Amino acid sequence: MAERLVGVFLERWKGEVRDVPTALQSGLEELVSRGKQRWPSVALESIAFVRHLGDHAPTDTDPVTAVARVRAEELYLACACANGCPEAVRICDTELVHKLRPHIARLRADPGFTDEALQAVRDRLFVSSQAAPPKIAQYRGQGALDSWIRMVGLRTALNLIASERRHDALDDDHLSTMLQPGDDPELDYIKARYRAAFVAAFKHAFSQLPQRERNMLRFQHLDGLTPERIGGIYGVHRTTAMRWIAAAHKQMLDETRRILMQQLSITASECESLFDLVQSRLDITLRSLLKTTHG
Amino acid sequence: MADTSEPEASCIDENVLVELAEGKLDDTARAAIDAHIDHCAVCRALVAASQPTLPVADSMPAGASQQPRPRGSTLARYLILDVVGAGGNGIVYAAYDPELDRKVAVKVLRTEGADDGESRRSRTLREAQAMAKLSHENVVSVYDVGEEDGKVFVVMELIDGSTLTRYCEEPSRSWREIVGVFSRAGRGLAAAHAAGLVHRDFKPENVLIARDGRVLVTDFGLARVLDPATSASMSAAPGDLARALPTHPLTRTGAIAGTPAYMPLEQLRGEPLDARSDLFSFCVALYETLYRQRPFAGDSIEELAKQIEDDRVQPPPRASRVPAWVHRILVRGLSSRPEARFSSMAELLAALGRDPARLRVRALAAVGIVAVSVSAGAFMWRSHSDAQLVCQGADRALDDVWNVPRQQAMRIAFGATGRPFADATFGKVSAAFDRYARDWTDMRVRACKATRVSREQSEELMGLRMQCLDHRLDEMRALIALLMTPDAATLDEATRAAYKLTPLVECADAEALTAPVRPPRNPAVRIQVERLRVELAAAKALRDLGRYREQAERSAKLVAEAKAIGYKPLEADAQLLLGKALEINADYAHAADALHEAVWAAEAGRDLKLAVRARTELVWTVGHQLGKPELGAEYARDAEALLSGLGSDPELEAQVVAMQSDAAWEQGREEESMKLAKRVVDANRTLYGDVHPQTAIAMVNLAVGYSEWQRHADALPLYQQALAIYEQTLGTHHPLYAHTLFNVADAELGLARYSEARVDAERALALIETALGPEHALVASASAVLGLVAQHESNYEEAERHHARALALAEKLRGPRHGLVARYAGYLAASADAQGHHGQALELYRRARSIYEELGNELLLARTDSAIGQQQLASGALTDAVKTLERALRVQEPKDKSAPDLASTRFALARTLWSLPGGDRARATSLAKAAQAGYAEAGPGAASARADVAQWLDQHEVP
Repeated sequence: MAERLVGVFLERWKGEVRDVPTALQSGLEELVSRGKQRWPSVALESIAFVRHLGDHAPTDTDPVTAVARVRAEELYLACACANGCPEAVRICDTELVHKLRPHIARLRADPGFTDEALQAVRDRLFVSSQAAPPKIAQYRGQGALDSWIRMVGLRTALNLIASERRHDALDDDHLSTMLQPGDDPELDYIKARYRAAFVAAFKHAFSQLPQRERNMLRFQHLDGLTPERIGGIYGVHRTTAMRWIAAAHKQMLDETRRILMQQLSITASECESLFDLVQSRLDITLRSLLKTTHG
Repeated sequence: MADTSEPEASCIDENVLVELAEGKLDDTARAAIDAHIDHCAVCRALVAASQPTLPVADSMPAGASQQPRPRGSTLARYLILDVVGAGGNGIVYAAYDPELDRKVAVKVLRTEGADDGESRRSRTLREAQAMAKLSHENVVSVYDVGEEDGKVFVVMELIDGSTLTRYCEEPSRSWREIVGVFSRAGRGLAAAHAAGLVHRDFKPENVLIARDGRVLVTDFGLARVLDPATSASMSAAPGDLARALPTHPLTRTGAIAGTPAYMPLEQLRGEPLDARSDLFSFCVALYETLYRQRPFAGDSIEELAKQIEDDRVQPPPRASRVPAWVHRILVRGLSSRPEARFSSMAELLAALGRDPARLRVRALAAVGIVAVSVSAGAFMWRSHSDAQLVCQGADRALDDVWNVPRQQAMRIAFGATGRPFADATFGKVSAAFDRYARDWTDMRVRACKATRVSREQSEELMGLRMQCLDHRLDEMRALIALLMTPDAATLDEATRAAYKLTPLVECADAEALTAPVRPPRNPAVRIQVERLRVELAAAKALRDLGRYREQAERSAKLVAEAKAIGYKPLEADAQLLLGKALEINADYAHAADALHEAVWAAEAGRDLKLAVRARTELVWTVGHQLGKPELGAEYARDAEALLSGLGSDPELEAQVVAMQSDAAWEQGREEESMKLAKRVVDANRTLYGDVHPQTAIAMVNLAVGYSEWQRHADALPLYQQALAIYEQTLGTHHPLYAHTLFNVADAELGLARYSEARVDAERALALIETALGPEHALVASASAVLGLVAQHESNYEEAERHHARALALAEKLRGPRHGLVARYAGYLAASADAQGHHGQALELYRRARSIYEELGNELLLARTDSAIGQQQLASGALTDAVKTLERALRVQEPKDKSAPDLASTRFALARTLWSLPGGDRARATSLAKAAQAGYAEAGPGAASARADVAQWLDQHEVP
């Protein structure tokens, strides 16, 4: 039995095998038993699971380590779902898919949409299409299953939204909202006159930023992430992220100023006074949008 | 059906997204993601959403209650307005309380499921009721606790501000600012602990920084309410599934994912918690904020627990500017075993407050804050030209007090005294008032604008600032009234009095103003208090004019009146004034009584700054004047501890440092005392300017240290600078001028400039006798200087007369066991000795010795021993002399910074050893040579002594 498991595994596994370590047998057995123990009501052939394991275990190390790095319980459940086990699908649905509701509701506050999106997520996860296996078969058992399902769910929902609306809600055009008309007629006149130039300069300045800084600014005021979370994405502390963002912000404003001067053919002092006029509002708007201070 | 087809092939795989969220990707992989999301909005949104906790969605309670309550709905009597936040334990709404007509925050707690609902709800209620009983300035007030539809809600003070997390994100925060803010939050924790409450979930998100600068801890005890069964609940934990997993990802590199990151070992293990558990969480949060990394490595709860258990706190990053002592404190607070941590928050906070460099730097920081608010005010001026009109008219109130007719009247009144420099004095006084008036108007406008124009300050705070400014105006009015009818003595003190008006900085200090010293509620009492305050200001003006006796009488009367109306803060103020007046009048025992009363009244009235001030006075009055240095040191420690609990107050801080310097000297820690004294000079220069009496006082205090070390060349220029400042600001008839003049004489004496010393000392003595009377303590000091001059000029009878007067006066004023009594006894002994009265000299020295012994002042004891040894040598008691002198030398050699004192002991021992049968003559010679070198170092004052040694060496050198 044990040797059969090893054979099945190695048949699928694409990593480099120098010799077959004896520990691999017990490793595989342990994974199988952990899966069975955690989900006793789920029916799944050991062979099917180990085959799945062979498909997904990391290949950049020896087979024993590779197997040990897999989240056995979660991969077991995902594998059972992919194999069409109704009980596994039920568990996944109630334990995990159901929990997507608030995340999807956050994208659009419409219960009808949420229901529709959740149904689409279920179809995508558990139903095979055009002979391709269901999406859940792609889960590799490295990260947490619930996070993975959330990613799939959100992508599905976002695609739904995108297909309904030509206009992309997440487009960079929204950056220019900081130059929307306000309640100050004098400023509005100036802005109406120079708005196109401002927006163009702003967008160009934005495009001149390094990729990382560009994304950080988007994360901050398009996705509403806090510096802490942005820091998390880039593997730095929130204060570091904060500093990068502040620098990017400054660079963008400086560049906008430079372009304006060039395009409107105005002197530095004229540009300064123009900027001064817009500055107060610009800063206030930036502050609320970028949630950071700018000197 | 919408299109949900497979994403583009290049889109980021969901497995990779999850690994990114769990911090498992390297920089290369991250860069690839960055490149993709730069043009793929969907994947960017997924990366954004992959971060563990989403602000609102995650905190939504499950089931029917997940929808936030709509605006306009009611919960009990509260009208729901907006959602202001949502945390792991519920949704917070801004709401309106129609009964009390105020806005409040209502937190509806998340109580999951109905399975154990009843017991949990009742526990929630009990906990929240305990919270409601807690009232502390660093704790968010809980107004009400209630229950509706099975939901428990807590009604709290609505704080306009942000969380500590947000505050600390500002990269420019200095470590001191961070420690300061945390200390205030820590005091909130300490107060809760004192009330028997444990927070259980302290983290930066649970600390609020209000717009008005207050720091408040919130959500006490809610952690237990919400999660009574398990120990480590992750905010991102997906239910049962997560608990079954062998290792759950705790956090990403360098960032905080959830509460377990702040939990002590006992909490991770589900063991009982106490105040020390909060202390641990506090230290984690502070560590993380200071060093921008977590104190313990580990990506899962298991790893984290292991690191904590092994006490493996990460070393600070190399570039960190946080001092090592802070790290040591944190390491102790982060101990795995609760008993190895500090025993309480109070102890931890005291340790954090013990920054050796704190006092000065905080003084400077506070000055910086004032400067910032000035520029903010200037900006407002430009950008809100119409709104600023609201705040004009501030100078009208001032106009009644200081205006052109009054100035003219004052100039005429000054002239009428017939004093030669009346006009010049008026020039100085009026310049001082002009400056004060300008600052006053400026600050009043600023205080108004901060509320009415920029709206960055609450109405309440503006009211307090205005009230503070009104008190200052009362003070100025009282002084001006006194100066309108000046006599000659008043005129001489006028400039100093104008300089001594209480600085306005205090009125800009939001923290001090919001300290819980509030005017009495009863309007009748309030009117009386206001009246007494005006009188108190007038009494204070008397002190600044040098009219001490009159001041003592009036402040005693004010004490009685304040007691009668029973308003403690005012009584404290009056007692402090009385204490200071009695101290100057040399009635030290009664002064100490009044100061004690001031401390008690101030504490009862919760005017903690006044309590600190009164203690700093006690350090001097009891520690020095009454000769009880140990007690003085205790007051110093109390004052220091109290001060660390107060907001920044540079003036008070400088005063406390000066006090510490005094206390350190009295206890023989001279080097430390000198360091502190130097710091006070710097601080006062910054606070008051180079030419200001306070700066001069600090310089004199520093110079006195040099004098004690016999470093007269260092002391003299400082005295002379101080003297020039006094002359310029206070005039030559002020007691402080006279005092410093005799210090100058003392230094001149040390430098062997006897004739100059005599002239200055005689002039000082005359000035003091006129200004303060013949029975004043300073008369003793000046007499002693004159005595020493006479001694050096070999006028021993005159010397004896001066010293006897000094000794008698000191005994009378300070009691028989005071250090100064010992000192004057020593001087008198020397003059008796010079006249051949050896028996009398020996007796006087022994008396001095026993006082020094009692005071524990080793060095002065040794110097006296040296003098006794020399008496024994002279009388031929060689064996006794060797013993006494060796004992003296053992202390003096390592400690005595006065070269001539050390030299004289060495030379005496040299002579004794030479004469003693079987004495070590080689040692005698080398001692004498050392003495000769010592005298040479001491300069001209020791020239004759050096000559004596040289002559002795000629005759006695070992061949």
